[in-house]
Parts: sequence; C-alpha cells; structure tokens
Amino acid sequence: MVAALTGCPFVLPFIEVEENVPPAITQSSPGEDQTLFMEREQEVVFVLVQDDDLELDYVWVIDGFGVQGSATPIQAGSQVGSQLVVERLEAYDGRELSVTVYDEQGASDRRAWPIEVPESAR
Amino acid sequence: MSRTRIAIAALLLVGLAGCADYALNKGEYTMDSGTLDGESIALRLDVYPSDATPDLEPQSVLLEDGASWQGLQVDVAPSVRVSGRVTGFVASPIAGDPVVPGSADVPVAAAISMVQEFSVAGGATENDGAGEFQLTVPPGSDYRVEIIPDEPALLPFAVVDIVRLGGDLDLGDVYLDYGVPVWGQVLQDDGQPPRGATARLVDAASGAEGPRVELDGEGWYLLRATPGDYELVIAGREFGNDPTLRRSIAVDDDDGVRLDVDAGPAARVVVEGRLVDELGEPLRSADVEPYRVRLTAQDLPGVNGSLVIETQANSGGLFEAQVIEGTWRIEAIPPYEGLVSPVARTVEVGATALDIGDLVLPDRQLWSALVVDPQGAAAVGALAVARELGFDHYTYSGTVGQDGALELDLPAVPVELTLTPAAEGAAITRLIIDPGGTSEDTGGVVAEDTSRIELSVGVEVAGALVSDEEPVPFALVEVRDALGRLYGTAISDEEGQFQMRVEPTPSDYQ
Repeated sequence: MVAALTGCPFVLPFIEVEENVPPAITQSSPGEDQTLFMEREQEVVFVLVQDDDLELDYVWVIDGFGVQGSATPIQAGSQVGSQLVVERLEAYDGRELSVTVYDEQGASDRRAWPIEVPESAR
Repeated sequence: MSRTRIAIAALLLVGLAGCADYALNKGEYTMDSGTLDGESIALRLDVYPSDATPDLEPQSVLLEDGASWQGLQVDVAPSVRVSGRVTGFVASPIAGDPVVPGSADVPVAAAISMVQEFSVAGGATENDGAGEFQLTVPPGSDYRVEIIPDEPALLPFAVVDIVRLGGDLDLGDVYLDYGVPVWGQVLQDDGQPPRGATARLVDAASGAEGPRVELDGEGWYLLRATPGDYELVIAGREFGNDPTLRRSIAVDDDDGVRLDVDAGPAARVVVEGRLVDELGEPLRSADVEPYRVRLTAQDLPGVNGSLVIETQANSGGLFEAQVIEGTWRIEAIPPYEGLVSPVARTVEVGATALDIGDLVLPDRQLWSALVVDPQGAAAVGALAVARELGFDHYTYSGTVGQDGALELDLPAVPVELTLTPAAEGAAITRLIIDPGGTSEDTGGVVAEDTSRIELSVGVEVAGALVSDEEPVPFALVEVRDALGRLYGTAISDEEGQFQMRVEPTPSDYQ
C-alpha cells in the first residue's frame, strides 16, 4: 500500500462530454402497436419526434416494396415529424410499414405498423 | 327511387340531432370565408388526430361563412356509429339453414364502405354472419354508403346517401333488390376475349364502384344493377397489357341490358430499351430497389380506353414490354436511393418491334439558393421540401442554414419546392423549379431565377382544436381550399393550438 502512494498524485482534468440524446418518436397515427387499416383509398400516416437536432432523416419502408420516396417532413413551430400518404394496394396486405428517424449522429428510433387491407378493397 | 333508397331516407331523420357547428356541409361552400391576395377563398381543415386522442377519427372541417382565419375554434367531433343489416332477394346464405334462392330475405355477405365528399372522413368493413355491420365515422354531411355484395352476378350493389349524420344511426335492413341483369361479351379483333379481364359497373351519379366479375372463357360477363345510369368498366388484369375500357350504360326496369364491348386489337408489339447512366453504364435493378419503367398510352387507334403498363429493368438494365400500337409515354423511374433522375420520352409504336436504344437517366445535381424572409434576413431553419411533379412524386428535403443558404440534391426534372419558415412572420412559400432545364410541361409557372428566394408574408391561419371542450393535441392539420388543394400543414401543440401563414398559391400535388 505504501508503495502505491509514492510519486506525485495526478488527476486528469475532466473532459466535458455532450451525450447525444437519441430522437424519440412521441406521437403517431396510427398509434404504437396499432394496425394500419387501409379503409380509404389512401391513408395518411405520420410521426412526431422529439430531438434537439434540426435535421433529422426519416426512412419509411414497406417491407418488400423498399424505401418510400414520397414522405414529407413536417415542421410546425417546435414540432417536427414526417408524414407519408399510403395508396391502397392489395399487395400491401400483411406487409409492415415502418419509419426510422435518424439524427445527425446516427442515433435512431423506429415505429412500425402491420398493414391490413380489408377484403372489400381487394 | 329504389326500395333501398326509400328505406334509408326515412331513417335519416334519426341522424339530424346534435350536428357539430363546423361539420362539413356542402351547402356551406361559398367563397366568402376570407381572402388571399384579394381573392375570396373558402378554407377547409383536414384534421388527422394522433394517438394522443385515440378515439378521434380523421375528419374535415369547413370554415363557416365570413369566419376569420385567426382564433378559430375547431370542433373535432367524436365518432358516431352507423349500423345496419344487409339482406337480399337472391342470397348466398351466410347463416342458418340452406335457403332456396329468391324465396326469402336472407342475410347476404357484403362489403360496406362510407365515403364523405370533399373530406378525409370515412371507413370500411364487412358484415357478419347475420348480415349485420357497424362503422364508426365522424358526424357530418353528405355521406355515401356503398354496399357491395360478394355475389355480383346475383345481386346489385347499392348506394345510400346520408344527407346529415349527427349521431348514431341504425340504417335497419338494407335490402338488395333483385335488380336487372347487365350482360355482354368482350372480344378482341381476333375473336378472343382479353384473358383475366374483369367487368364492373360504376354509378354515374356518385362514382361508387360496384363489384368485379371476371370474364368467362368466351368473354361473357354478368352483373346486376338497379335502374339508373352507369359506366361499364372492363379492366385488363393487373400487371397485364390489356386496356381498360369504359362505356356509358343506362339501366331501366325492363328485362335488362346487353352491352357487348370491342376490346380492340389483339396484336401486341415489343418495345425494348436499356436504362443507362450518364457514362453509359447500365442501371441494374436489385431485388427491392428496381429501376421501373412505366408505359402510359397517350393514343391507341381503334381502342376507346386507357392502359398503363409497368415493368422493370433487369440486372443488365434492359427492359421489354408488349404494348398495343399507338403513342406511348415511357417513364424510367429509379429507386429512391439511386443517385440518378427519372426521365420520360414519348414514342410512336407501329406494327413492328421498337428498340428505343439507351434511355439516359441523368445524375441528380446539387441545387442551391439563398432563402430570405420578407424583411430580407436569412430564413434560418426553414424546412425545404422538393417534390417531383409527376413520376413517383419523390421528395427531397433540407434545411436553410445560418447564412440563408439552401442546398439540395435534386433530380433533373421539375419539382415543387415548399419552404416552411421556422420563425413567425413568413408564410409557407411554394414555387416550381426545373433544376434540369427539361422544359417539361408542369402545368404551372416555373420560376426563372431561383438564386434568391424571398418567403412571402401570406396570411395567418390559426386556432385551436377542441373535442368535447378538451384540447386535441398533436394532430396533423392540413389547410386546403374547397377544391381540396393544399395550402399548408401544421401540428397542434399540447393545448390544441395550431398556427401557420399561407400564401395564395396552392400545391400542385394533392
């Protein structure tokens, strides 16, 4: 123990680290764990996000149909988010729609909904 | 008037109580609600509630005559139930003992949907084994209920109008009368039917679509309809290359109507080509990121119909489609994550195969502008969204930087640029730009000098969303005019308040 105390005690200065808070999807339509029922010819799906970054990337995917390129970011006062208009296609029945939001540091949050196309619309 | 319509008209009285003040009502459509640039425009709000208010459904609210666009108190109405039971004269019984067709009113399997004109409200469902159904929709005016039986050759479909829906409404028994047969044969010029094609009737007055039946092996179809005016639609099979044909047809109380349809030429001609980038390298499709080619008929001699064919380039960038002789617009559409632009070309297809050679998809290009607010200061933080006019309406977005600079990686086709300011005092500003100088007909005025863009002042649209005197937070609010053209988008805050400034020019994209 004595040996361990010899020499000049030295403490490195604290380095302030700004921890990135990942974006969080706070609200959506449909809600979390809900199903996207394609009752109308097109349905509007949207998410609202809480994050400090101004620029967020939203990647909307329908599995088997790839990235949906027509999504629109939303900015209204302090609210930010993204919306997608999904056209009713029979082929979407049983697929999953998901959106992943990334901040500039690459942190992300994701929400997904199974798609159900009513028999009447097929 | 059919028996169905009489029955429903009597029941409508039930739904007259408790109508919301702002419930969508076509009778309130006037052009006096406010002005933009001196032009009177009536505004409509489309409200999409989020999971913060899970009991509310999407609905549209028309601003009352003379209403100010500030301090709006918008009543987002809780949904009401519309129920009923579908029975028919000829039935495919879905409950009880077997029934001799035509011997009794029995429950019939049907799909039921509700649509509200000029609105985002509506819903769809199927009935149960007892023929009963229930839908939940917001209260409002001018709803249309479409009842589509599963057996279109045995029963007609029905369209029921609800003039005003103020509360829960039981439609009672909706009886699908026997109707009259509508039948005929659909043949191409070689005497063969278009394989896999379907026939359906569309109600001329409402646009409601009836059920489809597939043509039989000799091209015959049989549908049933109540008397009225319809459009007969013969649709080629999905992903096929047969045209969609439309014919007007009047159905009266007599023995039925026969309508044969000439489906045009049977001959198909191969159109082929290759998609390449600016360096001449083939653009290869991957599994979930295909390069798609959409061919849209512009003029088909001898065919009174329309046709869109979609195919994909293969792993060598090659594509091939079999089309009818005529004039075609060919659109090559890259995957969203590709780095090239879509491109379009119009070609004449004759009687022999056509190789259009290489179709070059230009690189996307860096586009930049200085964006300032109405006072000339940098519009820091403004959100920019560029949406392709045509093709698949891909969007590209970015944010205006501290110095007012905006840079976007855009395709070389006309896009509609929407700038949403981050600060108060400026309006959502919209313009059409053509980064590639393609001179495509955009249907709008293309901005010539886009090096400096000044946000307009516009007018304020602001208010609060309330439901049963409680705020409706975190709802998406779209401002549209009476024609449904989009002016702006906002989100309600925790108190249900929303605010935006809009300019006179609506979006070209609806």
